[in-house]
Amino acid sequence: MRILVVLGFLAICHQAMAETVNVYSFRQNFLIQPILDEFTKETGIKSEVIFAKKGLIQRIKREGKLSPADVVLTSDFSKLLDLKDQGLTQAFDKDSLIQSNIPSQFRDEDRQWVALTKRVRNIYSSKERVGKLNIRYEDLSSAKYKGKICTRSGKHPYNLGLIASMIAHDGVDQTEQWLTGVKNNLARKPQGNDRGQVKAINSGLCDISLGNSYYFGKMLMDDKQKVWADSVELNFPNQQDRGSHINVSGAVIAKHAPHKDAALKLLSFLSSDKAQAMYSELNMEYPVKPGVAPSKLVQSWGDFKADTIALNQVAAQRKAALKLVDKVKFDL
Amino acid sequence: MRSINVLSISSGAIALLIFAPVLALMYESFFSAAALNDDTFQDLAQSVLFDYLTNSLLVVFGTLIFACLFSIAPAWWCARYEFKGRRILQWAMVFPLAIPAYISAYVYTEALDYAGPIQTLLRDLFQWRSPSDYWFFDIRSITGASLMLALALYPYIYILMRNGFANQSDHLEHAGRLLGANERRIFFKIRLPLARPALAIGCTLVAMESLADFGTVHLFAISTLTTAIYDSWLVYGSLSTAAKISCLLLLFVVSLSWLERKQRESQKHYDLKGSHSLTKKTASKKQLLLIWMVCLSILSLGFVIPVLTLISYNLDYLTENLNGKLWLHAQHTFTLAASAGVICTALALLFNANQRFFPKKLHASQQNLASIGYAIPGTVLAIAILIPLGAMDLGLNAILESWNMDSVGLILSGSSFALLMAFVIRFAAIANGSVHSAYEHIPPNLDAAARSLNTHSWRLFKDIHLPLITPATISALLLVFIECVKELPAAILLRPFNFETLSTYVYQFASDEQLEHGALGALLIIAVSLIPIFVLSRTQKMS
Repeated sequence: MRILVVLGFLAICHQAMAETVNVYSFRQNFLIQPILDEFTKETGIKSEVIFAKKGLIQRIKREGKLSPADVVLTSDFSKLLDLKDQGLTQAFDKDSLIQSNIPSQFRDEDRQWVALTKRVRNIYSSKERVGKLNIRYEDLSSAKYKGKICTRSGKHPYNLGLIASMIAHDGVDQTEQWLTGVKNNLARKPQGNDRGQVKAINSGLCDISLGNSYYFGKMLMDDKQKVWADSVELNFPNQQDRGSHINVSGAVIAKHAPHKDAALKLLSFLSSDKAQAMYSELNMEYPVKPGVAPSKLVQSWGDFKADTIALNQVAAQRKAALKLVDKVKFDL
Repeated sequence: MRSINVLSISSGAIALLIFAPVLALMYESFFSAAALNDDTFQDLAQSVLFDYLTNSLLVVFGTLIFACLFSIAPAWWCARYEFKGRRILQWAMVFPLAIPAYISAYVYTEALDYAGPIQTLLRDLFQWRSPSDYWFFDIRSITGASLMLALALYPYIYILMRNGFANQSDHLEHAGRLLGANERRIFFKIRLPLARPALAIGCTLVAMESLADFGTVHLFAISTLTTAIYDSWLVYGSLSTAAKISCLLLLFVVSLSWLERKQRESQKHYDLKGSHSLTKKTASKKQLLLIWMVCLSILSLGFVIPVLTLISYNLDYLTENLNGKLWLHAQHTFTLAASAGVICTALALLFNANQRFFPKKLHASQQNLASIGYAIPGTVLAIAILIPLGAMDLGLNAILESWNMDSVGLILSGSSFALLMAFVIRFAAIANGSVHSAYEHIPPNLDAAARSLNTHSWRLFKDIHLPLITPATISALLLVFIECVKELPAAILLRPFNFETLSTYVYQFASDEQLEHGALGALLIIAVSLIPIFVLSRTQKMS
């Protein structure tokens, strides 16, 4: 009982304390903490974080108007849209810095969400056995890659995003054929994360894998994983036609944010030159703010053409993509 | 006959309270507007649900087989034989319980995968070039997952069986010997059947735990019903489908325990501990060799290898892993787990005493009701808990507002209270199972004798039942504590701001397949879980 009283008291104190911003984050603590620390240094506003990869949206929904969440940080685009669709967001001010920092392609027209970084869905290939490739996602179903492809689960948001974009471009039927073809080409059942696939290429289990670009940078920075990264080429797919599929990480201000001002300041900060550069330096992602150059390492991977299809159009196909994954039993 | 009394009312009320979140979830899944307009379940049923179901059953089945293989013989040996080092060995066999299955799974995957050191070495030795050149045990398989889960869960069966064997008396064995039965026949025809209640409860716990497992099967990329629950809820965004599949899981668990009870009803056996309890034999040299070899192999697989691997990870990343906050996380974890352990054990005593004093179908079903949380995957349970707690918070704040008082915010759903509640609901079944099996062993004529001396219920409980079930009660406390320390999915979702348990801390690394960086935290989980085992081994005489 005493614990409860103390907890209750703490909860009250917690609310009374001024100048904090509460962050619900789908992104890992160690990725965002340095940026949040910088924010505290600049503004004096402290941040409190809950990190979970799953279920945060449901939690906010349940907490209703009492929810302490001010800002939600997501690691992919569909969650931004989920939050908006479920009425869990509120608009940021029309004349806020976010509007001027971020191009309209990367923020909601109703000002309900904003993208903060871009990530490319690349195709990794074995340096030794395949070399640099001029490849399209569509080619992955080609018979010449039989038994040579590794990937993580088809249901992971990054793969779902890619499949949804394929549906948006090529239609459901063609994508189903493609997905069946890719499944038939797999060297092993989908498992592990993007890095695990590069590790598999390094060990000779497969030649080709799907993976986001920043993992390449992260592997290069890790003593043990550098060997894996050194054994592969990073390819940007579909350079001759529509460009490579990109996903975004982003943020929203929660509908019932108790510290809306602080939330707005945080979002403005995250879209500023400084934070955008930090994202690129620390996490090897592509900034969305024009004029902020990616880190040297990221630049060294070369320029690429990105798919410019509206993110909304891709997100609209997400459920269809998921059904396809189940239908062709991609993960089984 | 007094039919209304404080004991029954309070145990009924608590059982209902524990069941409330599940009830709320069921309501949402079948009757809410969203549920009625949702065809996700049909879609899944047409495509993959059957595969998922099959996989789930195979994992449970495999885990049970492995877990029985690992536990029954050591339990028997430790209860039956006296040999040097037995006291240490009988406790050491419980150690693997301290390691979450997903951590061992991670360690073994790293070692046995295609890119791992063992296969690489074999390829180098034999000049194999590609996977098609040779066969190797695929750890990321149903067999692999069953093995990992069994290594982490077999101590349940082991503890219960060891207590079960140790509490048996020699009467029946003497009778058997007179009729010319040998050691082997006595074990299979007398000892093992007598320990069946303990075996049944142990197996039910293991079955439920492996049914609800997410971490291991997820790491091994095996799609099971829990995967389907997560997918439908978090990817399809359909809570109602997730709840429907949860109900399917529950159906399994309920029928499992029903079947077990039905079978057991016909053969009740009571025995008195005391002058006739199992006499220990001295083990022969040959037997000793076998005992040590088997037990040490199991221990190495389930405990020594994972711990040594974690230590070696730590040596590689020690400076990065050392973190002042870890100590705080350990304290959080310890406090929460201890509170949940005490509450669960108290509830188990309450339910079982109630059932004992007022044996009714209703009271038995209360116990089942209160145990149901065990079969619900943590994430779903977390959401189920948020439904009533969130509503209570809103109500409370509305009342305060009407009195012109300051809002207290999410005092229930946003504090550690929610987490504590989740732990209690999830693990009430473990405490209940342990206490229940001990109660079953107390012969009713003891109660009758006490009653004939005009003893009232409280004294009967305090002076007769409690001393007899103390070992089981302490085991209950220990098991719940350890499970809470290891619990992950509910903790992730329900913890308040800047509040980490050791599991959630380790998970942020493990989820990224970078357990190396969370290795120190993982070792702390193991250390914290080992504390109660050590304490018990010093204070409790197991047999």
